Amino acid sequence: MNKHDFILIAVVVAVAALIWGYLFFAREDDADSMLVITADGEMYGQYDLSVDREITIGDTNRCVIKDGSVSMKWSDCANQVCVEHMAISQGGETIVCVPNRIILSIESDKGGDVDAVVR
Amino acid sequence: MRNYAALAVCICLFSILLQGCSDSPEKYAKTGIFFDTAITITVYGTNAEENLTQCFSICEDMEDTFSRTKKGSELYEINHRNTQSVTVSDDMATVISEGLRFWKLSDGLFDITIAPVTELWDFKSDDPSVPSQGDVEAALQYVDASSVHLSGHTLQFDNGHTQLELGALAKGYAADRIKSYLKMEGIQSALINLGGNVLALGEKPDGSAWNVGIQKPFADAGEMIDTVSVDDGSVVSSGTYERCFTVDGIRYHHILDPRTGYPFDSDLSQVTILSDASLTGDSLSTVCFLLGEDQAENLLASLDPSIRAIFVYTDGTVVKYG
Repeated sequence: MNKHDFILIAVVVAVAALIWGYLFFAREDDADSMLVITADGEMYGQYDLSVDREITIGDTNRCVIKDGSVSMKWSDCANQVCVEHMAISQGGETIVCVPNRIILSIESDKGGDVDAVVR
Repeated sequence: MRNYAALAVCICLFSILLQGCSDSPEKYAKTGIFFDTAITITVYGTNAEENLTQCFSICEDMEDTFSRTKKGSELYEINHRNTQSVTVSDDMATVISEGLRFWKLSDGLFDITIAPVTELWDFKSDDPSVPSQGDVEAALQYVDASSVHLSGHTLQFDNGHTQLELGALAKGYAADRIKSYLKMEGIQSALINLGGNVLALGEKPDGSAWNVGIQKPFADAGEMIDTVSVDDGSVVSSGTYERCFTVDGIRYHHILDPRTGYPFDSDLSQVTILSDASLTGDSLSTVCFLLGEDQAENLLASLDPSIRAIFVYTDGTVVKYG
């Protein structure tokens, strides 16, 4: 093995480390949180949590993304449980309108403080 | 040149090795609506999409077995039988036998024959109302778990009008069924959340315990009174703040007293049970609510010393047991 071989090995190891590092950290950085809306078991849409907006879901519900949090602004259902639910922002959190079969859930690679809530 | 070829092979192996290091199980999650509530199942594994689909079809099966209101479900057929005795499925036999066991252990306070009274209250309706005293009394005469006899798969009724309500047990049983399915499939890490009945399989992929928050009674949904760490176990709460309504300033909640046919009068607003199996936890959360703290603690001590409980009183006092 001569000097060039060592340089080549060094370069290859460096490239491998870079690729690995990219894959490793890119996964972590890729944790942009998304709001996923499901209506009657079907995917309704996915929305970036970092963009404030209002989303009308069919003609029964309307939710709002503001400062990285999601809340149900309006629902025509009788119990209004979804509208009274606190805003959600952490991965795994959900707001559900059972009568209208609408589910708002936050998907993120970063977990929230809790993995689930019993009630 | 041969040197380079050998080197290239080494490089390939090296990068594959490095790749392997970062290949942790992936997260698969699915949310849906079953048992009139939202359920979320999270599974860590490789290609676990199929497992999730299977979990949801188990939920569907369980709904087709234990729903009291869904026409054609096994429970519906049992409640609308023409004969004195019926043959029931394995699932049904397990859940009914657990229900009858806790009827004995609770001195009759936890009664799965409460169905005729539950039907009058209809807490799930958009516009619930208080049933008339006469209707409640008429329904109460059929509430008596001692008139139901289970022997193997044969369920015998002394009274033709007796109907069963298994809502306090079905979600716990469904969670156990899903967990044993995932375990059989080789999954080592999953969280099953059936409308607030939470059952963990193993711990999180990073080796830490799951954090389960407990809803604060009467606070906004999502506000927590406590957080518990769970490793391979179940957390279930029962309380007076879920499925309730107010008429003329009086709040009516869904945990009914089999002696009066009215919501059970208690100074507790919530009981949470931490146990291994979710069927036990689901039943015990209601049973312990009905028994009250002192009697509940005696019962828990006699059952399994590893079961823990958290009692929340209407004045906000929190008492932890175990």
